[in-house]
Amino acid sequence: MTETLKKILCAEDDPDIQAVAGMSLGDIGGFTVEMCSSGQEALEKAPAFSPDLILLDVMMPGMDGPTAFKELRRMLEFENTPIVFMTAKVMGPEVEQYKEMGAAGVIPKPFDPMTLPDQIREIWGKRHG
Amino acid sequence: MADNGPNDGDGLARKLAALRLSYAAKLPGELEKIEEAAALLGSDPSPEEARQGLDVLHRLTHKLSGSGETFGFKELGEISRQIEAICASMLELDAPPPSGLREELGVLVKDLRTAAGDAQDVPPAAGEPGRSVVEISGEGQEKNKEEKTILLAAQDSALAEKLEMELFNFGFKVRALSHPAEMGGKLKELRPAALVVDMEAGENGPTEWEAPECLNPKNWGKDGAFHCPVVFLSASEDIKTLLAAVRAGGGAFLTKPVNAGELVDALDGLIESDDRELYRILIVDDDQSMAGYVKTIIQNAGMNASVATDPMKVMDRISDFAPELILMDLYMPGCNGQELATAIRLRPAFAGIPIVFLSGESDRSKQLAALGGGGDDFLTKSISPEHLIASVKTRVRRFRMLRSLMVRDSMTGLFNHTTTNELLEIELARARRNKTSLALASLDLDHFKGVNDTHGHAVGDRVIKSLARLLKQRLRGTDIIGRMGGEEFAVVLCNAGGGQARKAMDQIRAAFSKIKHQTEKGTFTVTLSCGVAAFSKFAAPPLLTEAADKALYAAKEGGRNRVVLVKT
Repeated sequence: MTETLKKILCAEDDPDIQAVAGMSLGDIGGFTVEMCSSGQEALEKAPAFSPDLILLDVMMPGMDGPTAFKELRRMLEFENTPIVFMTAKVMGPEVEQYKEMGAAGVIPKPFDPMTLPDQIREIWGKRHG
Repeated sequence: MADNGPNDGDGLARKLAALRLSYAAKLPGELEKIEEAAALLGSDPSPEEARQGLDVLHRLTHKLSGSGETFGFKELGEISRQIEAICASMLELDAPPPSGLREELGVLVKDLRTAAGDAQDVPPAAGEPGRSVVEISGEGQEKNKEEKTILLAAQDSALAEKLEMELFNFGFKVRALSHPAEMGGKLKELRPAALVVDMEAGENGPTEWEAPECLNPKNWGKDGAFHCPVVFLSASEDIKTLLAAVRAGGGAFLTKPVNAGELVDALDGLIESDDRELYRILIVDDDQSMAGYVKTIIQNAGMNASVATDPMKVMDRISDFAPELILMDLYMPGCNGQELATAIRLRPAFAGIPIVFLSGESDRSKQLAALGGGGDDFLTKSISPEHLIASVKTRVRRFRMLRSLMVRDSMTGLFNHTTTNELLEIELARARRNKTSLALASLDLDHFKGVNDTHGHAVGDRVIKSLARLLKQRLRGTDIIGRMGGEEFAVVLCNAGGGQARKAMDQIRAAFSKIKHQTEKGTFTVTLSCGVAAFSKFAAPPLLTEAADKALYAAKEGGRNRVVLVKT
């Protein structure tokens, strides 16, 4: 695993959020971002892109975030890649559940595009600091 | 990520603002879907209806609650979250919702509509907390909701003063530069919508004003990274001067003496094209990596791109995304691009969308055959990103222009007669459904024939444009403003009662009567008369129009320069 966080794969079905997240992570955070619209697409794109961190929206049509998480964990190269969930669900038990699954962090939606990169860096720092 | 756009704070702020605008533009559509779902729960729903309504309502509000605040619409997000929570608990119970809860949902959906209506007004600028909305009544109306600041760099103070006054009449706020060295700082501080630059020094001008050295963006310091359209004014029209203006990034060039109308037209053209919605491009390609690559190029150029990898699902994507251009691969599984383009063209609503093929095919005759099926152009996949962007942008710009020609009046940019009437019908139906208020105002300039006869048609046109601009500035984004022909205008005020509408229109009448219109011979003023009719009394569109026209007639009879609310 690399020491610095450079490449982020982001799966989000809402095109508006995609645009703002892409801008936030890319332009503000300075990360290289690969955007996907579904869990399925994330699985397909991940191997070629080889992200340092993966950001998954929980609720997506087709394959949702948690399912994509499990599938990614099955792939050898993503066994240990930090995966972060984004969710508008505010209820505690679910957030805990994601952490128990092994998620590196949970970012609540709506997020602030100006501080999203910092939130991600903080999660990254906890794992690598 | 983007290496062809400024990555500084200003560039980001502009990008964010553009994203917000495009988000806000989609809200009415979302709201309509939410209202439809809520209507299913209306009165005494069957268990299936209730379940279906809750399901859809839950999904839609979940989306808004997750995105609203990100785009600066906090209230919208919060109301959505409340609706989402109620739906979620009802779905969990799996029982028909009790009438109390259904009523509560109805009220919340209405609140949501109000919040979305507010979002339609000027979206807050990046980094700025949600700005309060210009209410239809109250003092807020006095303030221009969208005052455009123009930075003026002219050494000739007499010219500066004259332009300042003339532009002010057209609703622009002008700030003059007193020394060229201030340029960078002022650009940063004021964020003007445009920069107007006089290229010549005055009679005894110090040389530092000599254009274009002081105008070169390189000389503005790092603050100059904020780019805005530039209009150059010059007494000379020779090619050297023109080239100098072009090299300094000029968007328009006017020769002196400057006519205010011309300058306003130039500014309108440059500013309008700048703060519109992002271009929407749909990429149809079964090859994920190729589609992703093209998408990145398009997005980095500041456009909104969406990818469809399954040609069989393209029709739905077109309906949802409403692309303004489709970039399509020629060879795909299931069907080829040529067939797909023909199929898209069969749907009347999609017939006008430009389709550009993007393929590895280099055989010119095969390329031409593909174009026969309804494609507009053919680009090879080895195309440079710059070429691709230029090609896409030109087509979308043209598509937008053609589309707006069909619904807009070309002189004022307001809705034309047909579109205004169609929109009135839609809004009336909505008001009836939601039991909200609506008012229609008919406006007519007083003694306009006299203006044309005395000052000529060019001056008359400028008077009409100044009223159009005033209406756009003073009314809410949700109000429908149309030019019905000649000097007649109509305004549909949604969620406004007769009294409110009368008050709003009277403020406009007063403001318009104060505008000084310029001619070589001096200035003059024009007044307007207005009739207002409210929906509750006149249900069908023709009756409402008739009532507003009658009130307008009464205003004219009563001595003009007044607003009359129809009484029944």
